[in-house]
Amino acid sequence: MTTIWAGLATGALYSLVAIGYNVVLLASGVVNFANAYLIMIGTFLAYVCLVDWGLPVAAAIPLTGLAVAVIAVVEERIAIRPLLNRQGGHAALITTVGVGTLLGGIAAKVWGTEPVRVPSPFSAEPLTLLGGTIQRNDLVLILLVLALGVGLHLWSRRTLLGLASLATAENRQAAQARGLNVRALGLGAFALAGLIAGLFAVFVAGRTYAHFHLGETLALFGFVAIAIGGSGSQLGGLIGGFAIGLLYAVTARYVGDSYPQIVVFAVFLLILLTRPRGLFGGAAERQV
Amino acid sequence: MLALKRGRRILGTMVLGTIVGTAAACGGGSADSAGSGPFVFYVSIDTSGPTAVLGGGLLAGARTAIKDINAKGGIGGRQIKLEVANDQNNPTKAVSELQRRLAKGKPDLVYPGGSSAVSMSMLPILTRDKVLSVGATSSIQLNDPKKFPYHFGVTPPSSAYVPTFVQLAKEKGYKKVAMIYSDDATGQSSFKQYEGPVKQAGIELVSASYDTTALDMTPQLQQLRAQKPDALIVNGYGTAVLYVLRGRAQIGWTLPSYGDQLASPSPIAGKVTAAQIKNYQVIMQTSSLVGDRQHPGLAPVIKEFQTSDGAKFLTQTGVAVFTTTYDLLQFVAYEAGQEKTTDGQKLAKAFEKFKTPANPPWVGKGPNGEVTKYEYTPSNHFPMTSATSFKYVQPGTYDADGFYVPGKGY
Repeated sequence: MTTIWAGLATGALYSLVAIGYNVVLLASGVVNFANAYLIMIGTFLAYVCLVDWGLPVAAAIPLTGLAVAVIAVVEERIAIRPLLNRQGGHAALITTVGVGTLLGGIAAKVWGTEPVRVPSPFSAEPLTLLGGTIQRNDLVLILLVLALGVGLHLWSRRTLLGLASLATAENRQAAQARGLNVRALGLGAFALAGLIAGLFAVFVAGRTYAHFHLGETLALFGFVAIAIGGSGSQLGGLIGGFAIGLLYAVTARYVGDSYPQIVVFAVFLLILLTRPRGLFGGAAERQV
Repeated sequence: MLALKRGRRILGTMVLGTIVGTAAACGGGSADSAGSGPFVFYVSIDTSGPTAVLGGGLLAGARTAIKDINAKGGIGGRQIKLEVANDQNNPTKAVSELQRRLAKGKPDLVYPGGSSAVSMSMLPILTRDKVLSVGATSSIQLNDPKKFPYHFGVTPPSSAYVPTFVQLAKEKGYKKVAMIYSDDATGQSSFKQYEGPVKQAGIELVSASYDTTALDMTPQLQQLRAQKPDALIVNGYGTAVLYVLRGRAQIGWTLPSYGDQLASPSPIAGKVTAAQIKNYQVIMQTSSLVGDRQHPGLAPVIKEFQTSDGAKFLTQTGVAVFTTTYDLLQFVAYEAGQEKTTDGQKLAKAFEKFKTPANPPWVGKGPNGEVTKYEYTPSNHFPMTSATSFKYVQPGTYDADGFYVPGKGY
């Protein structure tokens, strides 16, 4: 069971990134690769709040959330919107990679290349649960990510704003013609994704430490998670992330330490070949 | 027709330029290598990139040695001139900077980068131009006198740490040992270095590797735990070591664990709990440990380090990084004085039959330079060590003098 808990905890990280990808993808049609790097920056900002400024966790979490939301908004205004107006989503995808690289470089320059420990709000004493051991921080992370994913899934299907986001993702021009403010939706999506990244940063750092390389690992597996689960489906991203984490851990434990990545990418390829829109992605009509 | 004539003129100029450039690049008659003028010490190091802290310590050590040697008349009567190339720990950048320097003439001595990858990229060029290089990078691939006859290492290769572990394992009566290592060239190389000697000692070795991007090593640790080893060897650096220690504590596995030569210097102080480092020890060179007997000349040299530009790095990197460049310059100066030459090729030959004197001027290798001996042979261009050159201690941090204090910071 310890392996299962470990897989779920790592999977929660990938799900969190996938959720951030989907929030932006649904509202603006852009895969924001920088989202994983926003989480990484969030872990360092959480460190600043908790250690450098000595703030309590209750203050550090919202402050980090707001700060990362501001960074995400700046990203949208500088790196995304000018391209969306001229080139569409594909060019914007490349610039998000650039923004991510920039954020990684800034983090290395400001906080150095060594990992930094962010104080966790929970005791480091492992918890025995259902026959396995798990860190308290990791259990909270799993539960919070599950709640977030399900909540956002319901929001995107049952609220007017959520449906408007879906409509924008389906067809930006048509949504605009129907009177939707697609710019505001896009900006709001970036702010929300940044806010989520920042709010979860303390719990992410409790598992991974704050490290400038963190964004790279999360970006890759977060992308695999939405590809498996289905891009644009919050439920799909959530399940995709947890599935990768579990698959990775179980393979490393029982099949062999050389195989986890091979197995994960084999499943990724299999799903791309058999269900190109992912497990939970719906088929889309396109005029040709 | 006019265009044709102009073309020929341009071509002619280019050919002439190439001949002149090549002659300069060959450097046969350059002032730097003719044995007159300053003794050029070219240091390729990271001064602004990810390993700039290391670069700061190495440069401070070099500058202190240069001040001392130049005050005593220089190397073979030539004042040492330090040239620093900021390679940012990037092999491509290191090579282009070196090519640029060689086009102006050959340096007398080169410090070829702060990582094995950088050294590996520079050595073919330095060998081609027969330039003497002395470095602190420890990949076993660099110890190839047939391929790199003018390169010498001054820090022990990674394999030198293994006998200390084997001796400890025998003393403790370990029958089966596990190793967790990074699934990259460095980790695999470390595993290979342990594999042979551990098995030769009659100890079973089981292993598990982790991907360099892994965020959790719990499954691999569980896999090893199921095989019931008596001890664990930990390979990795930075977050990898932290993840291993975290996973080990999570599954409640407190077997004796030992960091290898890469994991040991990982700065983990302040990042782990007492439970995570329970029964975990790191391997350090005895010459860098607080309280061990040191060379009588080391204390005044440390005072010099503490007043240098790089003083702030002393508590971050430890004094051993500073003495790496300090000692290598003292060694080259000493040998140049003994052999009465500053010619790189002659010095390389002389290094191969060098014996440590009774009271060496290098200060960071034990009271009599016995912890790491610069005693090379035609088939071994890395220094000599023994199992007693290293010691397993509790994780710690460096004090104000740059000595490692076990237990400090936890």
